Amino acid sequence: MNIRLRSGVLGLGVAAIAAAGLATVAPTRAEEPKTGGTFKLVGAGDVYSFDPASARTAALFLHRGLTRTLLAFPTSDDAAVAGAPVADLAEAVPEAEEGGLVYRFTIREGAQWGSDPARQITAEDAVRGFKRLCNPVQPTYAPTYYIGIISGFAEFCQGFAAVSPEVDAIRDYIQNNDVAGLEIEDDRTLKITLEQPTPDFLSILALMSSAPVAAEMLDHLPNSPDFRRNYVSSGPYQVEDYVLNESVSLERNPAWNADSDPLRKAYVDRIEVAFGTPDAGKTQRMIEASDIDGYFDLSIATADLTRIMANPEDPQLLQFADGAVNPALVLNIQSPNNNGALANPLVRQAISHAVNKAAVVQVGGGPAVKRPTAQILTSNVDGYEEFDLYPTPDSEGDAAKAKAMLAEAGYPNGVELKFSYAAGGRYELYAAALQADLAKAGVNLIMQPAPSRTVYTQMYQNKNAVRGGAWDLGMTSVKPDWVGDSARTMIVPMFHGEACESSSTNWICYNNPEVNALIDAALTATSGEEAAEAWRKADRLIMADAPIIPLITGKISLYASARLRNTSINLLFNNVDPTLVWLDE
Amino acid sequence: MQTSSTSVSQGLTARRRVLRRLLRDRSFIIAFAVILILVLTAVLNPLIIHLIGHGPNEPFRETGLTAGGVPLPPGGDFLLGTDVVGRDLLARLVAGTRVTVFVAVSCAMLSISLGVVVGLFAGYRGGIVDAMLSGFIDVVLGLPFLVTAIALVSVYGASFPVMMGTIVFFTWGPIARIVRNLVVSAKENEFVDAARMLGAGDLHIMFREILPNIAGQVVVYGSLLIPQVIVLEASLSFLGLGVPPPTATWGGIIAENQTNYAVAWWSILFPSLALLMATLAFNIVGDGLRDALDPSARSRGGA
Repeated sequence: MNIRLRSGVLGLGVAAIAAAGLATVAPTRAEEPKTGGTFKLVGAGDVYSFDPASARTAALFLHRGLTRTLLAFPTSDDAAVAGAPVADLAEAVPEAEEGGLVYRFTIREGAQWGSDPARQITAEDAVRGFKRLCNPVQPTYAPTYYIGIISGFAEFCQGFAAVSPEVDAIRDYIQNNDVAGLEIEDDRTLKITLEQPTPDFLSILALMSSAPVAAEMLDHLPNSPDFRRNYVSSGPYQVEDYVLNESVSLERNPAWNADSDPLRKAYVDRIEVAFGTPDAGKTQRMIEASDIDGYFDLSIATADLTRIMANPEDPQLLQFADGAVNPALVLNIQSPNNNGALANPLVRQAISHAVNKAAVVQVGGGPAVKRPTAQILTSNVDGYEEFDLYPTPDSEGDAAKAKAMLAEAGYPNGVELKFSYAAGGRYELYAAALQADLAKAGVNLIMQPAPSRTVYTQMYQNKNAVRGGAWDLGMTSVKPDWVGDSARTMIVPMFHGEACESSSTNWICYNNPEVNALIDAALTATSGEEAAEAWRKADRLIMADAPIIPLITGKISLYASARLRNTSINLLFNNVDPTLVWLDE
Repeated sequence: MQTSSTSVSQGLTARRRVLRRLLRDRSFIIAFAVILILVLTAVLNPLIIHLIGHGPNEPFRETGLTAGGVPLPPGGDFLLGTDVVGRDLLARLVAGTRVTVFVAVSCAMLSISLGVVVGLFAGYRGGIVDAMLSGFIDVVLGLPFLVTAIALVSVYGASFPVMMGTIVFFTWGPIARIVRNLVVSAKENEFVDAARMLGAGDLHIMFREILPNIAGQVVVYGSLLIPQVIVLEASLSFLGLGVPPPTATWGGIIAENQTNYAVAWWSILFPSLALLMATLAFNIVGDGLRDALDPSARSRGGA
């Protein structure tokens, strides 16, 4: 469930230092932290989903200050550390019991909701958080992280699907129905029973979607403006004001107890984000002028990057491995165009040989921040092992070889592919960079740019458009939802073939029984190593089928104001941790 | 015979007067020359691009971009610099001229044709026909251009026909309304009554008697419509709703390079200047024609 719906947003990829698997962050200056001040940011737009059940990307930045989870991913520039969940609301990271089927959590005493009056966060709140995940209004983007994993969750969600999308009906269903695998043993102790051992379950619990939710939130429709304005916080900050599509400001949550929170320091008094600046260049100039302190949902534009990287020691420049393959080309194997050419693996492999990845690297900022890639998994993910089944000289593509392969497949005159991609961002650049070189190999692109939402809903996710050949080639990113044991988030949504007919993420209904078996083996492995081995094999097998052409991966480049200190990056949301930064003023 | 020869000589004199007036208008001459250059550039497009030596859609990764993907400024191999993926900006501007001229002329002609036909029927038939057609024109004029354009492109996808259809849809209305008003006033003239008494049918009267008499004003409005069409085409292309890439259009070039304005000013400046120059030229030519053809302007000029 890691396919980004927005192009260009934080779209910079994995590091050139991928082998080390480490994020590189400019060293922070060792000074005594100061308290106070307002941490200001500007963003391109409001977050698509603020509700913890469905929050992603930039919304996670806000929730780092607002919402605590039982476990959490620590803020660290070391991917190995950043990918290992630590205790947040829970007193400790639990050991698996009963052969990996049971986990027990005790919530820290003194961890409180920012309600009036403040009250202890309980096991019941944690259960409520899980139950809200399959609400009929704005459910979680990743139901497969819970359904089929937590015992009884599938049945609970099945019943929830029939509930009217109204506040009262949702509240009634949550209050009157239980999930068999979620048991409240006492006020602060929760027992979770799984259907089968799940090696990455603790990482799933560290996601924002697994956060406890206060009872008051059942009074508002999920993710509604009212929900955003009246959000009851468990973190060091609370929503002071939320003007939809304009701004959000966070102030201190008086109920937050620093002693109960090992992860957050909350140095700044306020955090303000103004939406509506979709221009990364303008944002950069605002940061350089110290009008604001950082990026919210964008990153440094290619045009500014060369200038800024002239001084690689610039302490305000923050660069780190993104962990995403961005972009990757998706080949519509269902398309009837060109006599169903894309159903033929040889044609797909020919196109894999034809693409000029070096050109995409160049327009994406150059080799200092990007590198070509030829696989789905990235260096931040367990199971990653570098390989390239379609190597070409300097990654510039091999038109002659591609042409020969197309001829062998029965297409001596090449193929004409409808290329649908999101307009108005980096994807337009990447598409333009690819077009000329593919043409040299006889792969002629009919460019079909359209607004991002249109491309995803009317093209990629529309089964009729897929089967009817409305598009042959798509462009997307494949990003893990966390670092470490997160291979499932890169592989399962797009490449697990079971029930692909109804999948909204396996657009092309890719279905290889061998891949399915490897995925199933990884998901139910008894150890992390066993799972990683299965993911490694699945990665290679999928690439041999070539339903996707990964293009580049690289670093995200951000910039911090001169006054911002302790700019440690949290790799869950790829930005500085707002609860750890402080202002030197 | 004498009468007829007098009428012909009067017509010739009037044309000469118009021509003399136009030739005296220096800004008209300059603007007309600019339009001529644009048309020649459009017609001789392949030859000019051959002379430039760089294809408009051909990226030059080694010579046209830095390693970090920043375009190169004007000079050397690239007279106007390169664009965001290393293509020759001059070659793309020249290629864009063809699209601009083609779209401007064909959309203006389609809009005028549609507007004239609807306007003629509404004005000549009057009554319920007039009310219905005028109501429809009001509805068209009331629709928001960009919202409708985005909706159309979302449904049908960006393409040349969709773009042209959108532009024509939003530009025929004003022409139809103007023609309708001209016809309402022209149909009261004696020559219409005379034609009717001689047994002429409605279609004959509309297209053979009334239309020639209002043609001058229609031409003026048509020439003023062209710069509007150019701006609409550029706006649609800028928003990604126009001609699909990699076909070069001026609006599209500005859109492709907008994120680079701080480091590659040339990639925004030159297409913007081309756009400004073309719209200005067509506007000045339209104004000049109006001054030369409009009787009231003539009488003011003669006074």
